[in-house]
Amino acid sequence: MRDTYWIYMNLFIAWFSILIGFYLLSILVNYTRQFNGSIFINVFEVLMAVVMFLLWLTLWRLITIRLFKRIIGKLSTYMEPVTYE
Amino acid sequence: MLIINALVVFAISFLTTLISIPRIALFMNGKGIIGIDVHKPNKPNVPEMVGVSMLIGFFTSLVFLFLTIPELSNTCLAILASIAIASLVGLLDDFRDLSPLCKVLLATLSGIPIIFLRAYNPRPMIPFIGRVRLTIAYPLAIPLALSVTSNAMNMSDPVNGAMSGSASIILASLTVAYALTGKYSASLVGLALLGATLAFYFYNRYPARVFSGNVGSFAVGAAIGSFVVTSGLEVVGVIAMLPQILNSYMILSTGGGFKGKKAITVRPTRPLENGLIEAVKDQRAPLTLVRMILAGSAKHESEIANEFLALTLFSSILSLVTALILQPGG
Repeated sequence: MRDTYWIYMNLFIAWFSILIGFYLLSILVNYTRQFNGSIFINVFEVLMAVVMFLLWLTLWRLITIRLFKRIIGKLSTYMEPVTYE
Repeated sequence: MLIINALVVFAISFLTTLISIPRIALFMNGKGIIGIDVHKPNKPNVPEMVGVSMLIGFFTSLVFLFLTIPELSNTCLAILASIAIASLVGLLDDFRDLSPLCKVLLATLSGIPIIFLRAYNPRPMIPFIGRVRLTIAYPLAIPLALSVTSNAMNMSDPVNGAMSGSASIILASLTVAYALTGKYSASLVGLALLGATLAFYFYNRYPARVFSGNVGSFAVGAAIGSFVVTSGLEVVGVIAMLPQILNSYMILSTGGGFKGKKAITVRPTRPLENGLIEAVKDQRAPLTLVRMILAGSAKHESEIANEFLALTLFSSILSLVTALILQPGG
């Protein structure tokens, strides 16, 4: 676990950001419900959730590759080509 | 009564799988259905597609629940049908080597029984929000969800015991999560599935005596997916499967998308002569979870498998925390 702690941190960031995303979504849901008075999540809210999820997925990938570049850099730096059958 | 049912259903699933593994392994050996364990220095031959034994465990225990607990009959039937369809896709992949896009599309079919049997509740519980009503969006998302879980488990079988061990941890955490939220009947279904994966893990862990094959990994993925969709706690399921889902996403996004193995010109890892496995230092290689685990140093296969399981355990603990955060009765 000594040299893989960053993957645990990465998973924790993913989990925590999902929770923050849901919290933001709850604010959005409460806000939109003030206008239509509906207790149900409407199509707009579902679409917002999908957009937020895609945004999260892109951000997570960016974080993984950029924030942990110091570690992943060991892998992504071109050193020697190794091909397999 | 609940505890007795729990013990019986777990025992049925565990024992039928455990008993059938050697027999199916012998059958596969006889038919020449064997795979090469590429991470071992001596490259031993190992019986392939023995994941069929997990199907036997799933089916016997779910049929037992179907017959003994009427309130679970529809759920069990839907899960059984989903597993059957997903395992057929896996079987096809074992013999025909399907393209990733084809696997993703075919695996969506395993969600259809759940929709037709209406074995779902379109009111998932979301943290901070509570119950939301998704009458239209939810059934549309079911095939996609099943495809994601099936393919994620299929792509998370890189070393001995990684798939069966991580599936056991995920199912155990889900079973506990359902018990924590008062859904005891769902916990019984979880135990029915857990028994089979746990029994298979004893044979599949390092050094593997059997391989599950795509038939096994697809069945396990569909089992987890259909279990979560029919029983609720969707977000908890996603959190528990984070390492597998993110591993699949990273492979697809850094390894040529849906183009398949042919698009990957450089393998992510390579075995060394001293028995260790190291990450390939080439930017063209896909960024897999195993490659990330090996970023610091070369490791033994058993260490990689343990790290894989530890990561799944970590996300499973996070999923249990999420289950506690969920607003009851929201």
